[in-house]
Amino acid sequence: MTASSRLAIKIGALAVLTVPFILLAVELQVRRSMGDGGFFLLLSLAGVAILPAAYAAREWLSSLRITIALLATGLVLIFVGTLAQTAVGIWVAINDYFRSLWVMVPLDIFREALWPQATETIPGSFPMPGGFLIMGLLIINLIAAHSVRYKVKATGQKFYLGVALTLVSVVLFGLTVGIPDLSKAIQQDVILMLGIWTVPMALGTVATVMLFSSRKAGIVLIHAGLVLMLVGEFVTGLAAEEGQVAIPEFGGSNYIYDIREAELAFVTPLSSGKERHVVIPRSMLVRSADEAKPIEHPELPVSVRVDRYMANSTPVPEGPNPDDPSSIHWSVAEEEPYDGLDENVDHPSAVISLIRDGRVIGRHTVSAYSIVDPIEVQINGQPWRAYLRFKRTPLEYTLQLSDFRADKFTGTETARNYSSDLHLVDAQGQKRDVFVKMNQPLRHDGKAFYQQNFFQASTNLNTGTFLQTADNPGSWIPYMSCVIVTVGLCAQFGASLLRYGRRTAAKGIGN
Amino acid sequence: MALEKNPSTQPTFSIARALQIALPIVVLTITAGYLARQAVSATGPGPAPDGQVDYRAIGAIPVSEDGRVKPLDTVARNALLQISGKQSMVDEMLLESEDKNEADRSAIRWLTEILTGRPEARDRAVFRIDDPELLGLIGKTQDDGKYFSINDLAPAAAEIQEQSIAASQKDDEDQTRFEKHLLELAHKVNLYRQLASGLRPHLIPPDSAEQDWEPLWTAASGTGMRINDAASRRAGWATWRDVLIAFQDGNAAEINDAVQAQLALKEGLARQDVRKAEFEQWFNAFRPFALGIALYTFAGVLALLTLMLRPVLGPGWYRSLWATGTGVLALTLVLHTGALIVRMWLQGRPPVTNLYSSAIFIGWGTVLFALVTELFSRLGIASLASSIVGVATLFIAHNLAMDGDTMGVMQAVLDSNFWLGTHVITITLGYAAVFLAGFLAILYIVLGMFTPLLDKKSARLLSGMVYGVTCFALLYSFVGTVLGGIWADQSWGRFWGWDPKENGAIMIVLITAIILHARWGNLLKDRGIMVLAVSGNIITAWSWFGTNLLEVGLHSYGFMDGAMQSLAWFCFSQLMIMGVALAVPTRFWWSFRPGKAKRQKTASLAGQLVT
Repeated sequence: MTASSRLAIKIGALAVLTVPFILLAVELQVRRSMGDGGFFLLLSLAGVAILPAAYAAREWLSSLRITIALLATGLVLIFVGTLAQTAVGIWVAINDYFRSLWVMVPLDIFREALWPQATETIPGSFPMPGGFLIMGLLIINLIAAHSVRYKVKATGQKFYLGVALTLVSVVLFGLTVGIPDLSKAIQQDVILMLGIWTVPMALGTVATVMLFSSRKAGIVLIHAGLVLMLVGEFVTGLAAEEGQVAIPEFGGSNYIYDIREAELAFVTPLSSGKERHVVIPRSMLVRSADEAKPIEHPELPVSVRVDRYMANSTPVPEGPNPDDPSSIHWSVAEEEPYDGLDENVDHPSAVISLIRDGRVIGRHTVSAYSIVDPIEVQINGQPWRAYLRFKRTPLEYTLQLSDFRADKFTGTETARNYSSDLHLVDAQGQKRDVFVKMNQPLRHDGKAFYQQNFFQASTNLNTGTFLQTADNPGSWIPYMSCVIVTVGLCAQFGASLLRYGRRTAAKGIGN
Repeated sequence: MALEKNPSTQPTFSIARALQIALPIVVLTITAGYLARQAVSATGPGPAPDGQVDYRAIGAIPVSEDGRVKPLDTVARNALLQISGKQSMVDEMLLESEDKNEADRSAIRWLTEILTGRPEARDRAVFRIDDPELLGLIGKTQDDGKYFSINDLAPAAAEIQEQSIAASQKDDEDQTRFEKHLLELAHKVNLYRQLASGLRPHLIPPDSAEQDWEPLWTAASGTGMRINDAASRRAGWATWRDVLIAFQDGNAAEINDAVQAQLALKEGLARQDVRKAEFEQWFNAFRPFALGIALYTFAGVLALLTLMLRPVLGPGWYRSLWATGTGVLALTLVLHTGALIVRMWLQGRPPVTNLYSSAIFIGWGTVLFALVTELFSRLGIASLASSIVGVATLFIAHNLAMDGDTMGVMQAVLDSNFWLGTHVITITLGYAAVFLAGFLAILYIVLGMFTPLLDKKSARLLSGMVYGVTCFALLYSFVGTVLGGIWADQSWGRFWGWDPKENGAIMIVLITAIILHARWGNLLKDRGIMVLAVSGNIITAWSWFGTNLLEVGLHSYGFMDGAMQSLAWFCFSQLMIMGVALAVPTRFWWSFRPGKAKRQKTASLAGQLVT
C-alpha cells in the first residue's frame, strides 16, 4: 500500500465523518430558522477549515496531560454544576454550566448548597470552561491522540479485509436503526437489541483487532463509542422534542403540547364538521408587543396587535360573569417567570387588540389558563374563538382514554403503578387498543408515549392521564455507544488480565 | 497455586507443619460452629413453659404493613428501632428476672403491650430525646436521662403538635435545629399513636383472595373498633378479639391459646407469604449483619496480624496465618451472601432497592473483589482494606435501618426488577470497587509512611492491585451509568437529564478515567496514583450520599440528620491523608528510606514466600 492511497483513505474518512454534522446542522437550520442550528453550521464549517492547522499541531494536541486536565476540569465543573442546581434550579444550571462554552460561577452557590441556613451571601465569582467547550476539546484531543498514537498497523490484504469488515459492521448497525420496523422492535426490547447487535459488534471487534494491534483494539473501540455518545448528546440537545398529551377519561386528544412554548390560536368551525386552527407563535406575539405592530395573516379576517405580553401570570377573579352571574369572570395579573425548576410551569397571558379595516374592534385578555374565557366574535357571519394556549403539535391520530388506574400498595400512599387503557384511532377511523404503564411506553409514528402522571379535573370527578412524549431521532445512539464501549472495556481489561495471568503463571507469584 | 508446584515449598512432615495446617482449620471450625449456634438459638427456645406468655408465637403472627406481609416481630423491631434507636429496650422494668433470650425479644413484648392496650405501655421509656430545648418543652432536663415514655410526653402533647405543624410549614432550609428535632419527635409520637390506635399494622387477614388486609381501625370504612360485632366480621376479627380479652384477663394459658387461634388463620393466606413471614422472624433473631460486623472485625484483626508479623514469622506460619484470616473473611462473605439472598427472596427483588441495601451490597462487593485480589497478592492487605469497608458499610446500614422497614415497597417508576437488577447492581459494584481501590491506597500510604513493612515488591504488588481494581471500577461505573441512562430513556424518553445522582455517577467515571490515563501515560508515580485513588473515596461517598442529602434538602428523620456532618468528616479525613501523602516526599517514608532495601531483604514478603 502506498503512502498516497493511505492519505486518500484518511481524507475520505474525515470527510465522511464531517458530512452527518453538516447535514444535521443544515437540517436544523432549515427547520428552526434561527438559534442553535446556525451556530453549529458555522462551527462545523470552521472545524473543516481548521483541520489542516490541527493536523500540523496534532503532536501537541494529543498530549495525555491535556486529556487529564480536561477530565479533571470536567469533574470540577460537574460538581460545581450540581451545587448550582440546588441554588438556581436544574434547567437553568444545565444551560449555564453543561450546555455552554463558558460560565461565571458565583461563589455563593457553595454557601447556598452546603449551608442554606446562613443568611449572609458570599460575593464574587470565578470563570470556568463550560460543558460544550470541554467536550469539544476532549473530542479534538482524542482525534489527535488517535492520529498520533493509534496508527493502523495492518498492511496489504489484512488492511483491506479490516476496512471491509468495518464497513460491513457499520452498514449492519445502520440497517438495524435505519429500517423503521426493526428500529422500533429493538427499541422496545433491549434484549432483542443486544442479540441483533452481537453480529455487527463481533465483526467490528474483529476488524479493529485486525487493523490495530490486539493491545490497542480495546482502546480504539472505547474511544469510538465515547465519541458516538458525545455525538448522541449533541443530537439530543438539538433535535429531540419533548411534549405532553393530556387525555381525560372517556375523552380523546389528537395533539401534543409543549408547556415551554405558547401560541395564540384562532379557531373556526368548517362545514365538514372539523375545525380550522390558525395559530400565531409566541415569538411573533412578543415581537408585536415590542414593536407595537399588528400581525396580519391571510387566513385571518382581522389583524392582531399585542398590547402587552406576560411570560407568566396568575389568575385573578374580577367579579361575576356578565353572561352568567352564577360563575366568576377571571382576569390575570403578571408574575415573575419561574427560574426553570421543572415542577413550576409558566402560564403566559396577553392583552390583544383585534383590528379590522384599521379600526380596533375589541380589546381582550387571553391566557393559557383555561378559566380565563376565550374571545368569541362573529366576523362576516363566521364565528371565531381565540385563546392563548401551550404550543400544540397535531397528531394524525387520536388517543382515547377509557380507563386510568393509580394502584397503591395496601395501607400506604406509595404508588404501585399508574396505567392507562387507551384506544389509538388512526386517520381512517381504525381503532386499536393500547396499554401504557410506567416503564412500558407506547411507540408509534416515531414517537414514544410514556405514562407520566394523572390529573383530577376540578369540575367533575373524572380523572385523566398525562403522557410524556419524546421524539428523538438519535435515541438509539447511547445504546449503541454503550455496547461498543462495554465491549472495548472488556477487551482491554480482559487482555490485560490475561497478560497478567500469563506473566504470573510463567514467573510464579512474588518472583 | 504456583506455590505448590515449587518444590522448595514442599516441607517434610513436622509438628510445626501440622500445627500450621491445623490453625486455619480449627479457627474456621470454631467460627462456623459459633454461627451455627447463633442460627439454632434464633429459632427460639421452643414452646414457652406453663404460666408464661409465648411471645415468640405472638411475633410469628403475619400482618400487613407498608405494602407487604411480614411477621409482627418485624413490625415491633422496626417501630422500636425508629422510636428508640434500639432493637431491644433498656427499660429496667422489662428486663427484670428475664433470661437473655427473652430480653432480645423485648421489642415484641413492648409492641404487644401497645396493641393490647396495656396501661404499662404508656410508662415504657422508649422515646429518645437528646435536644436540651426539646427536653425543656416536656419539662425535663438532661439529668432525667435520654429515654422518656408517652406519659412523660403527654403534658406537652398539644404543644408538640402545634409547634411541629408550624415547623413543618417552613421550608426545610429555614428550619432550626430544634425544629428538626421536634419534627423527628412528632414523627415518632405519630408512629406510636398509629400503633396504639390500631391504624397500623393491618392486623386482620383477608378471608378470601379478593379481599385486602384490614387495620383494626379504619376511619374510611366506618369499621372503627366494632370488634364485638363478630358475626358480620371476618374470622380475624373474632380471633383478635379473643386475644385482647385474654390479655385483659392476664391468664398466660388463655393468652397462648388465643394467639394459637390467631396463628391458625395462616392457613387461609397465600402459602408464599406465610413461609416468608415465618422465615423472616428467624432472620430477625439471627441478625446476620450484626454477626457480620463482628466477624469482619475478627477477619480484619487477623489480616492486620498477618501483615504486622510478616517480618518475624517463617513462611509456613505466615501462610498459615494468612489462610486463617482469609478463611474467616471468606466465611463471613458466605454469611453475607446468604443474608443478601434471603433478603432478595423475602422482598422478591434484586439486592439493591434503597440506601440501606446499597450499603449492605457495597460491603459485599468490596469483600468479594478483595478476596479475588487477595488470592493474587497474598499480602493480607486486601483483606484488611475490605474488612474495614465491610464493617463500615454494615454499620452505616444499621444506622439507616432507623428510617423504617428496610424492605419497603418501591415507587412505581422504580418498580422494574430488570433495571434494578442491571443498572443498580453494576453501579453499586462500581462504588464497591472504587472504595476498595481507595482503601488499598490508604493502606499503601499508611504502611509506607509509618511502617517498614512495605518493601519494594509488595509496594509494586499493591500498586498493581489498586490499578486492577480501578480498571473494574471504571468498567462497572461506566456500564452502570449508561444503563441508568437507558432506563431513563425507556421510562420517560430522556437518556441524560443531568440530575444530581447522574452527575455523581459520571464523576466516578471521570476520576477512575483520570487515574488510569495518568498511569498509562506514566504521568504520575505510585504516590500520585494513590492520592488520586483516595480522592475516589470522597467522590464516591459524595455520589452515594451527598447527592441524596442535596435532594432531600437535609430533611429527613433519624440518621440522615447527622449524615451530612459524618460525610463532611469522612471527606476531611480523606483530604488529610491525601495532604500528608503529598506533603512528605517518598524518601522520608519509613518503608522507602534510602539504604533500607538491603536491611529489609530478609523481611521481604516475596522473599518469605519462596525461601
